Amino acid sequence: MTAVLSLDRLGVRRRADGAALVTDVSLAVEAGGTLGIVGESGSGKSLTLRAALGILPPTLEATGGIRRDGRAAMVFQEPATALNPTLRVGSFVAGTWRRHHPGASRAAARAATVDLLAQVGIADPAARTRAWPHELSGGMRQRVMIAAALATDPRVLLCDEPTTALDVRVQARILALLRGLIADRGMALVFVSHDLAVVASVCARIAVMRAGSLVEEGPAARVLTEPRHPYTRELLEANLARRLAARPKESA
Amino acid sequence: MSTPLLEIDGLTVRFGGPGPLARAVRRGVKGAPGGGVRAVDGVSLTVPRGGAVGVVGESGSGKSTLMRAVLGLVPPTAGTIRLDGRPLGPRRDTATRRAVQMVFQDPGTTLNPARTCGSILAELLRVHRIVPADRVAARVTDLLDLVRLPHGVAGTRPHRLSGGQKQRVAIARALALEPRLLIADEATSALDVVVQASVLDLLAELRATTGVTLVAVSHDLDLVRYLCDTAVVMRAGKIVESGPVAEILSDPAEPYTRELIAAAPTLSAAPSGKDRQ
Repeated sequence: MTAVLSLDRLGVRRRADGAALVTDVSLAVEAGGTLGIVGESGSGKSLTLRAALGILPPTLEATGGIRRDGRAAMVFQEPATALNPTLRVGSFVAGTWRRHHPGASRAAARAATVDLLAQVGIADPAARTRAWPHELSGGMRQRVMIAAALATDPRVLLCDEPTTALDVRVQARILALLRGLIADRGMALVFVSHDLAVVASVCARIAVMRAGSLVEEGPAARVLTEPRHPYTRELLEANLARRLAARPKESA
Repeated sequence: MSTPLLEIDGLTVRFGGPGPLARAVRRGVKGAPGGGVRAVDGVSLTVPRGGAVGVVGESGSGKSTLMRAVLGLVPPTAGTIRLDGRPLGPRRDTATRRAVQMVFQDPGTTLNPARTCGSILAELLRVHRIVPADRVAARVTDLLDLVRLPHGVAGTRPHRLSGGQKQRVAIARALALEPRLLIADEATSALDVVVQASVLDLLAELRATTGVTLVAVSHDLDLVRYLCDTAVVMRAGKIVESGPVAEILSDPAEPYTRELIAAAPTLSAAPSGKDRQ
């Protein structure tokens, strides 16, 4: 099988002083594969994702190999700032769709937009195309972001903490939506989060990053049960549910 | 039975809508619209001395507004708050203010960036006359010990500290006043998991060593289970369920609580044997 996205000894460094922010990250995800990247703030997980999509800030540069087979699209953490506040959400999704379907008519774009909004679970999608971003809840906005990402027909969907800003019930629904979309479309997923439990609920493979380097990568079931790196063990030990389970019974 | 430390009875906080005069005028009118939003709507809650109570709910459920009312930051529209049997009004003397302290969610915005951590703590000790002037420096050191920070932090401004260290300074600041009641409002949700665990352990330990009464506000059920004995679940300004944490989590009565529990991602939900690569 060929990888839809592969990183070969990827590095990210600051142009000004050459400081290495990400070092030697080699990862690959195949069609339909799901890869989670876990790490704390400053571990380089988001920079790795941005380098993979080629959207690093101009002050940084990527080194090493980045190979994408087909389109990649990204869903960001904060849908309130990722959406254009001056565009109705329908225009935003339709504009994205038309850029990736040159020559298509406005009517076709409108139909595709309604279809995409329906796919991401937005009720009454035709009426919702007229909504402004500020009129939608956080979960709805993130659904619109996912619809815009899908408008590019991506082979791999990159998600950067897409549920961190959301309430736990909304998070559960967005995670279920992502699982469904991946299964239906055979799309690959790279999901970055600081939350091991969230990553474990959508990804078959887990990579753990710390201080700009990859410390461990493997099947989720193996990483969760037999972590090889001390830092992965530390992450698992910090999980409250796990600590509670290990507590003596009488404290309950 | 002794009086509980904190008694909240029928507390309502309304934002917007008519002011007190308009309300007084309308009081006689049957069915006059109240207007505004009831962020907290008739909440009653009792926190026993030395206890730890969790307040669980989603954004907008009113949990933070409830705590801000207890702290005296927002005036209640109706209802009473009692600390040690004495009513807590909107105007409080220094001693009353000292008795209730809060640790906020984001230590990056709640510590004065222009002052060193030592002077932030020292000012409180002086204003509230916690220790004699010649003991202030020593007490600052004791407080840093209490929250497991190196003494060098006293001479450091907050921006040089990590998120976890800043939150420890915020906890030290709250504990400097030797409060009767410590409120932790999403105190660890801005922190990385490993740091979160260490701050939670610190709070649990401080509860044991100082005997402080704790109210932990969180959207995270595991966190509440980790720190608290009893909990209340809030939704749309009202308490929908309350009881011992273990009971609420193992046998929730309300569909809303069940939904919250089901929505929490767990490590055991990891896909197994479905490795596609």
